[in-house]
Amino acid sequence: MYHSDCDNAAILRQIDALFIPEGQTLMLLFGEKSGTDFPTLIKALAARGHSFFGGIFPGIIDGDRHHDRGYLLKSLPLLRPPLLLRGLDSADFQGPELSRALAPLREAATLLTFVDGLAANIAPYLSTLYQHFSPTTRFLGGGAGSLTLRQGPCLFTEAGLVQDAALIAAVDWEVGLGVQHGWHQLRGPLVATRTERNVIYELNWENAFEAYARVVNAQSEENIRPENFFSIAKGFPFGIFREKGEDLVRDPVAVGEAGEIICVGEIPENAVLYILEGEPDLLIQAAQGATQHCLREAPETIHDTLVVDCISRALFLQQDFTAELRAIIAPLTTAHPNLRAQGVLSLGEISSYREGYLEFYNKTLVLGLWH
Amino acid sequence: MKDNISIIQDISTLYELSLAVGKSLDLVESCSHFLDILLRRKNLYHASVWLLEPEEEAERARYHLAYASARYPRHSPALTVDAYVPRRLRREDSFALHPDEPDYQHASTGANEEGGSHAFFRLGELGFLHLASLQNHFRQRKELVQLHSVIQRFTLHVVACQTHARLVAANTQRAKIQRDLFASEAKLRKIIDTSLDAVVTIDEWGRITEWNQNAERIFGYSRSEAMGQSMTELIVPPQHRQNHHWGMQHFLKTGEGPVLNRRIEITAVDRQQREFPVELSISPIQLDGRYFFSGFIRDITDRKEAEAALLQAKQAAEQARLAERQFLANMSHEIRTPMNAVIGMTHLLYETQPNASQKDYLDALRFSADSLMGLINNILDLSKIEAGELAFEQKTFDLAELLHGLQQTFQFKVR
Repeated sequence: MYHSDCDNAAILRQIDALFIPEGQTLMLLFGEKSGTDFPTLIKALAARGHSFFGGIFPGIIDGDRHHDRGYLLKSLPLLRPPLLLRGLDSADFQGPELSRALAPLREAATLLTFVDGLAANIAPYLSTLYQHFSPTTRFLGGGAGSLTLRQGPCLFTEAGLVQDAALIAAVDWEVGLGVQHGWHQLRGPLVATRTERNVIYELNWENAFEAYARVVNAQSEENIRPENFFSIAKGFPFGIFREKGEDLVRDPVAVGEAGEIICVGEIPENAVLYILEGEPDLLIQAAQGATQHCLREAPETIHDTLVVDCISRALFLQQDFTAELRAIIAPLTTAHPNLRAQGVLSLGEISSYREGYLEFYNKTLVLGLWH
Repeated sequence: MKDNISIIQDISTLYELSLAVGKSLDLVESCSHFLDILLRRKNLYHASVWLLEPEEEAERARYHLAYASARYPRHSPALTVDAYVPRRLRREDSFALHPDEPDYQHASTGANEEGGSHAFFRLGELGFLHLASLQNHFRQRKELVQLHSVIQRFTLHVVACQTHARLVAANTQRAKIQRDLFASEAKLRKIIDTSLDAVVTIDEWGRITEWNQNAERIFGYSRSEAMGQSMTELIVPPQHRQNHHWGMQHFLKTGEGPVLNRRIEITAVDRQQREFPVELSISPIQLDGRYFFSGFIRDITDRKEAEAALLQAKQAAEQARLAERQFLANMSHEIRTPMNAVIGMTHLLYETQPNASQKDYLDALRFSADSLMGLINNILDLSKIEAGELAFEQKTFDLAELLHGLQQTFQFKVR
């Protein structure tokens, strides 16, 4: 359920009133402007003996509305207590250590994972996660954090509120996945000839910003400059080409002093990129398409939903974003009248591509139907 | 136009994949990087590398899982050389299997529970690569042929990774042997350096190859000064050099050396050309068909001086004993002669009719003279005992008279 009163006493009252089935774990997903006193809330929840986890996101989705204040309160059946992995930013982040931590979750069919969306090593983390589990495992999740793009504590368990971390919950439900974005190729290919994790230094062997600006300025009414970079670039993301599927979107969010472009998510060196453009109708159609795909494969009984939609889609679509949420809700409620679309506006989305490889997406809608 | 875009996309994917080969010389890291990009760009869900581990008996060789993009439901399966996939890859470089084909059941390497399409690529003689897709890949032969060109490059890189791993293993082993050798040498050097003797080793040409701390102390040359020098020139006195040279030549010709493997005393010279006595033992060592000679040399100057002092003391003691014997012999003669006169005169006085009182005096005189004579004889006996010249005599004696004499002696003393 969505609740707007983020005062600790109000939150605890809601939790006390909630029927939590035996063995289930509380999931609390907050909008970044909730103003909640998290350390006190965490202590109080621990004192009540609840198992819980959660995160702070740019926004919360509840039906056809989204909020930067308030929270979703849900309970999920977990196979094990949620696992909090720290040090995702450290240069010596190593896969094998992660493997040891993940060993107890090995047999999970569904993994829910939230990451600090501004951490540096999301790609190696997800790669190790995929290697650790069988290809039949389904993955779902997203990036927590603030729209200010300033890194801060955004994930919590009983261990506290942390940044630079990943949270993993092995859910004892199966999940059907729908993943789609609707952005299409405008120009390309461009080769990312020099990159380092989420920073592009060179495109086609020349300064990344100069090469990018040349393409964008031909399309944009206003020339792109470092000062207006985010407001224009949100309409021209990069796409990493993938066969037999949509391009993998990378959101350019800032430009550095040397003309390097900073993205949300990793761009491998020598990746072949396209500059994408979006049309509201196509994006909304994609959201509907993802939902319909999800519903086609879903059984009759669905426990709950989890929508992970990119905050930059909301920023790009602006007032049309409500139409996107309605495009999700319409087929959902037709098939399951009592089902309510709820989730988060994220800094990057995580999913196996339906049943395929695990990816960190940008500007994409990921819909999970728990069954 | 659509064809052109498709070609550009194919070329750009192959370009990216080609550059993704050879990221690292570590096999797992290299597979992870290349196959990660391959899975993402081709939109596949599984990739695994299987490498052949040869056995002496060819039919016992197995293909083992060297890398997998996701965990295998069945842990580390192994495929025999006669399994469907390797058997078919002996005839073709690559092939695909789809759910609608009769041979699809043979596609399993343990990871295809998801179903979908599977493609297998031969990695030269090393093994094969397994790819799986849920997006209906590999229907066209062109897809396999395109990927084959990149996978050939990947094969070469797998060879490089394996060669590198073997080199690293060999280097690690060599480094360990060298470390052990250095440790052993350090230990040996410690033993040699703490030896009480000078330890000097020379080669067949007489050049010094080992010179320990005691050699530095005894001969006055540092190790760096001595190493490589001719030992003969450095520490053998000029008068022994020719013999030393002959001895070496004789041993190298015949294998015989009368001074080898035993202790001898000889002289040596130090840096100040001081000649001093040494005790020396030499052991020949044969290494790689060449001889080395290890000499253990002890400076025995102090011992020689002590021996000389001892000899001198012994000679002095013998001279003193000789003088003593001379004295006793003289004393025997010079004292016994007047004593015989005293005893003779006492007997003559008995002939002069002495009165009772005089007779008592004469008795005492005679007894004392006899006692003194006995005492002198005993002293001479003692000197004979010391010289080992005492001869035992066998003769009759009067016990009563001996006891009476003792009584007389002590009675007189008591009185």
